Amino acid sequence: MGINVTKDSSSNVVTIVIAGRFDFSMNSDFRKILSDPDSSGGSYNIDMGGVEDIDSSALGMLLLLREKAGGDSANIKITRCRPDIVEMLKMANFQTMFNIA
Amino acid sequence: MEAVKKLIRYFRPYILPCLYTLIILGLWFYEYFTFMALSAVALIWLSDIYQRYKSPKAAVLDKSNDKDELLSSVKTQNNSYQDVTSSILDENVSISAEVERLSNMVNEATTELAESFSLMNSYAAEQKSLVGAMLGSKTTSDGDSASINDFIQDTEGMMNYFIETIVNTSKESVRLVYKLDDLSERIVSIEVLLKDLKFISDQTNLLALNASIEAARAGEHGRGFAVVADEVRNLSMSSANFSNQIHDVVAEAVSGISDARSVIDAIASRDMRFVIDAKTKNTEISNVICKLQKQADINMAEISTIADNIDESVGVAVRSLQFGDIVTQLAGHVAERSNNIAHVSGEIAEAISVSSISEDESTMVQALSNVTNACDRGVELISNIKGSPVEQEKMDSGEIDLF
Repeated sequence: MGINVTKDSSSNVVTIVIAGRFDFSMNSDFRKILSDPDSSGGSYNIDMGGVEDIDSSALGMLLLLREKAGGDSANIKITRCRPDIVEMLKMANFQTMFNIA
Repeated sequence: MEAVKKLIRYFRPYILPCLYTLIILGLWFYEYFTFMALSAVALIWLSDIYQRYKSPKAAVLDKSNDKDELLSSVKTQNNSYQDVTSSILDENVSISAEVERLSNMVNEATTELAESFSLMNSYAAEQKSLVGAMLGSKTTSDGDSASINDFIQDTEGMMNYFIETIVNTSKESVRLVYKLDDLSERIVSIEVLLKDLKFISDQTNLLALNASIEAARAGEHGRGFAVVADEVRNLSMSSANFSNQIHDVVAEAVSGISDARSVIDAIASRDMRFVIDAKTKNTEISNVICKLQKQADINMAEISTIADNIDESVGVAVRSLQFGDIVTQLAGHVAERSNNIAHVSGEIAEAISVSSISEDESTMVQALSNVTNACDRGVELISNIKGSPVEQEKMDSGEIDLF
């Protein structure tokens, strides 16, 4: 449960593993990622294999991360999502803003 | 040879009398008187036979009542001729009336048929234009299909806008929460500053206490200083009091921010599943409507083709109704022929009636010649009107190819 962040300093890729219910309760953990000055401009790999459900605040947090990572030039990969969660991301038009695999 | 045959034919009935004569001759040997009497009878018989052979026609004409019989038979025949002629005339009147009825009926029927076909034509044209309007409605954005399409697109657009708004609200809410967290941190730092302030006021209070002790030790000279020390002590206590008040306000602010944070939490956390359900349903309905519309388009195109076919068939039917004219012409021709027949029979009847009046042989011969002439003229007249008017019509106008 919660967020686990690992950083590969050589390739400057931040891997974020999220598990459980991805909602507002994770906002302080997410804040830490957002306020980390080292990671700005880098690449993110968000592993959502353990995510059971998401709500709109999760989508908001992902958008904030995208803003921090450079907006349209951001390189954020969202992986291992469950089909219903992929559906939700697509409904919010996330497939144009994130690399959903 | 002919004469011999004639002789044989005439004498055949007299073989028996000849045999009878031979028997008489045989009897002559026995009785002379009887022979004489029978011989006389035989001579009379033979002379009669001779006369018959010499001029048989004269024998017929000799009959005085033959001419009367002939005349009476001619009259009888004349009467039957006149009966036939009057029957022909009556028949001609009936034929003319029936032909007129026929052509009237055909004319009425063709007129009604033409009217009903032209109505059918106009209905088909109306149907076609309606179908055309329905088919064209997509481009004119005037019909139901167009508004359904617009409605589907509007709904989808609204749904997307709604989702985008929710997600953006959540994003800004999270951002706001982060700002509030920053604010909270700042306010908490005021607490630290207040601790410093409390320390200063405590120190001041302690210093004032020491000063009043020192002033008491100085006795009368320190009395003024003791007053100052008391004031300083009062001030430090006021400062501590003020610091406590600030502490309370800060605590309230922190609690308020916490409340605000939970409100924003509620705003930011929206369940997205119902939106998915709504969007899925909308997509399903859109697909169904699109399918129905495609089917409707196909059906309408088929209806349009059928309407074209009806139009064409009705056109052919209307053109075919020209048979009415031809039937009318044929009927006229039939009436004309019937009139000619009546005319000819009338002429013949007139010629015959002259012959029936006269008893004179030469007048009768003349009348018979008149009858022959009337017959010849009739044959000529009838042969002149041979040939169908329809064939002529066909040559005049090539339109009526259906007959």
